[in-house]
Amino acid sequence: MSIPAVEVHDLTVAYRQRPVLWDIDFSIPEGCLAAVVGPNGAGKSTLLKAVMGLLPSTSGYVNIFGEPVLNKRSIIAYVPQREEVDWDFPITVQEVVMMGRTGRLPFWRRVSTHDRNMVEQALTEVGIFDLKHRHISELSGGQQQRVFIARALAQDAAIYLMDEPFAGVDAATEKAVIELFRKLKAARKTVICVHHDLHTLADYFDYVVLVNLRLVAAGQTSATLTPENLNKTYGGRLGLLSEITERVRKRQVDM
Amino acid sequence: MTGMIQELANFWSLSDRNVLWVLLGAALLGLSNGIIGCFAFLQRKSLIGDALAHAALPGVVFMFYFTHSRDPWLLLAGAGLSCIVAHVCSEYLIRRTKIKEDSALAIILSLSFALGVFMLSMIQKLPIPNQAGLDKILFGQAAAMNSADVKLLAISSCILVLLTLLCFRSWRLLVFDPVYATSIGLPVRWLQGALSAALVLAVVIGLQLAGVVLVAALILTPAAAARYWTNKLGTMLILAGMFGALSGVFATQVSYLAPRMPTGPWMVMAVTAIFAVSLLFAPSRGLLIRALRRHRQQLRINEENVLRTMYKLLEQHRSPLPGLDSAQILSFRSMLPQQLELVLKRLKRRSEIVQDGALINFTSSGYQHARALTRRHRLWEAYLAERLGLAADHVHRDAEEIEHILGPDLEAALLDELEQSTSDPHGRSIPRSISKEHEHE
Ligand SMILES: Nc1ncnc2c1ncn2[C@@H]1O[C@H](COP(=O)(O)OP(=O)(O)OP(=O)(O)O)[C@@H](O)[C@H]1O
Ligand SMILES: [Mg+2]
Repeated sequence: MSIPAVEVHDLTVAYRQRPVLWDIDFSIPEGCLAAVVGPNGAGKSTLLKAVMGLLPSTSGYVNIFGEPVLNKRSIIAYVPQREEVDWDFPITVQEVVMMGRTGRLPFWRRVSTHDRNMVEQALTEVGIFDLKHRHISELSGGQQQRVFIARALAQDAAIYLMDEPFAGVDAATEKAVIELFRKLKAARKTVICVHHDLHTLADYFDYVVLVNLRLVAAGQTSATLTPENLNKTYGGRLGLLSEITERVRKRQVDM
Repeated sequence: MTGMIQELANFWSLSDRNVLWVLLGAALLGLSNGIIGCFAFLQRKSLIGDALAHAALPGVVFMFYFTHSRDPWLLLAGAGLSCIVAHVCSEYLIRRTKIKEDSALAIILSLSFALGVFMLSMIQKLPIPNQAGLDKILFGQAAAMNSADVKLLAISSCILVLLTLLCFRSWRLLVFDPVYATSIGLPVRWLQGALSAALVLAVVIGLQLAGVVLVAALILTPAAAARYWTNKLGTMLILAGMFGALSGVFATQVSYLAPRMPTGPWMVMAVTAIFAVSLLFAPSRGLLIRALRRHRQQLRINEENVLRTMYKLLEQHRSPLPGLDSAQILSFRSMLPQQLELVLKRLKRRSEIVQDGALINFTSSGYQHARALTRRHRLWEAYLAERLGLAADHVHRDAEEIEHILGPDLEAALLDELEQSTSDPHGRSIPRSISKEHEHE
């Protein structure tokens, strides 16, 4: 078998000694559309951030194409949840997308024609080319989401990690984004995103990772998305693990 | 008066060395503090400048106590050190405890200020020479600036401006979206460190001129003012720097003309005045401009409504009327008589109507305009009723609000949707567009 795009091995992640993800272990093959699914507070955002190496892990590791994630950051593009930034910041759409190109450039490097072309292409691809000179506060929620996706596209990465790209966007945007995902897949890119809508899950994604503090199941959608697994993901909210987590939290409060 | 001009001429001849130093110092300080302040402002760390300034006090006194020297570089180092200590402490509090950022900064601010004042009064009892005026650091004293101070200011300002030029792209990314910045592998901790260090430097070089209590205003206010004028960070930095420098020049001039006037407080006054002007008059964001625009919009809506009412009244009569009087219009339009008076006056001035005694009538251009407005209004009503299924008696009010923003392009789109309806929901005919009419003739 070829090297998986993302391999998460025995990963435990904690916020201030309180573990929110336990022993996560799965891998995602190259060129597939994968969804991370689970109830609110299950640790989906945490998982994405840990895969990016944004959070220190208590144990375990993440490999990207067989190498530690910190060496491979340049081929991963991260699309944060929309609420994470200040949308009143003085910056235009085009400048945000340009961050995907120039964020890593040293200050003496000028923006090249290639960078400009990539940005224009990314803007066109998500359908906001006409808005490129707009200030970001003048965008609707769906347009904001598109800006973030365009920024990731401009990075020309191999792996795309997206946190709820469909949250609060209309059907048209959702369809456009899914079209885009299929194009990325055709170009052998790997897309991993947090997804909440169980109805569209099987339709959009060919791989799922079910999490709820621990890993419930991961694999091809057809085999993994069983009622039983879903029940385990959404049902067992007060299972042993969340009880332990709760105890750890209480002890810290007491201390 | 001539005396004043003479004084001004003296000032700008810059023959007085001391004036030159103060002028340069104030302008450079305003410039660099304004620029660096933008980043703190956008990070929503408004209190941090204040906290750092107060934290500098114990450092300065401490340094003086040990070295017995008033060398500005040494005092600067002392101030910088204690600022860094305070900064690290507050970061620790924010990160490791439940205390929120503003509370943490407030605690640090008052504690270090108390410490500083305490040390200051201790020192004054000791027989250390050369200490007169050390307490001037509380409120600043520009007049005492000499060439060494200005040299320090100039070098520091240059460093700050250069650093901003170098780090512009990274700092912008860091402030806008720190998580993304980390995700693409930027050295976020270093960048944040550099930004904090720049802020510390900006604060401590301001102490001599503006003092512990006021220096924060030089950091924050130019940024707040500049934000009103632009949606681009680069422009905002330039504007904030200019605002700061301008207020420096202004304040120096005031304190030259009236030697009792302190430079620092005047600088703060000036920059606050700039802020007030921005708040009121900045295009698109300024309060006054916005109010003015609303007022104009309201006037236009009133005018359009009167034109349409006249059209409707005249249309109802088979045989052409000689004209209308204002009472007739008022019976169909709920507006105050004086409002109508104003509208009629404006319409007359634009020769859309003519008045003959009490009788008001359209001119031909006024008629065309009224007809186009009526057409748009009825199209919109028909659209609302047909497409959104609103009841006919509900439609009118909604149509009123929207129709004033419909342009020719939307009018065409409406027409397409309606497949050429010829009457509105109240059963009145929709006037055909003027150009169409000509085609049919
Ligand atoms: N910065 C943080 N510090 C402490 N605890 C956190 C932090 N971020 C998240 N948590 C906790 O970690 C757990 C998982 O959070 P996470 O944001 O990963 O959930 P999620 O699955 O993305 O939820 P949602 O569907 O609501 O987005 C939650 O219990 C949350 O309270
Ligand atoms: Mg989340």
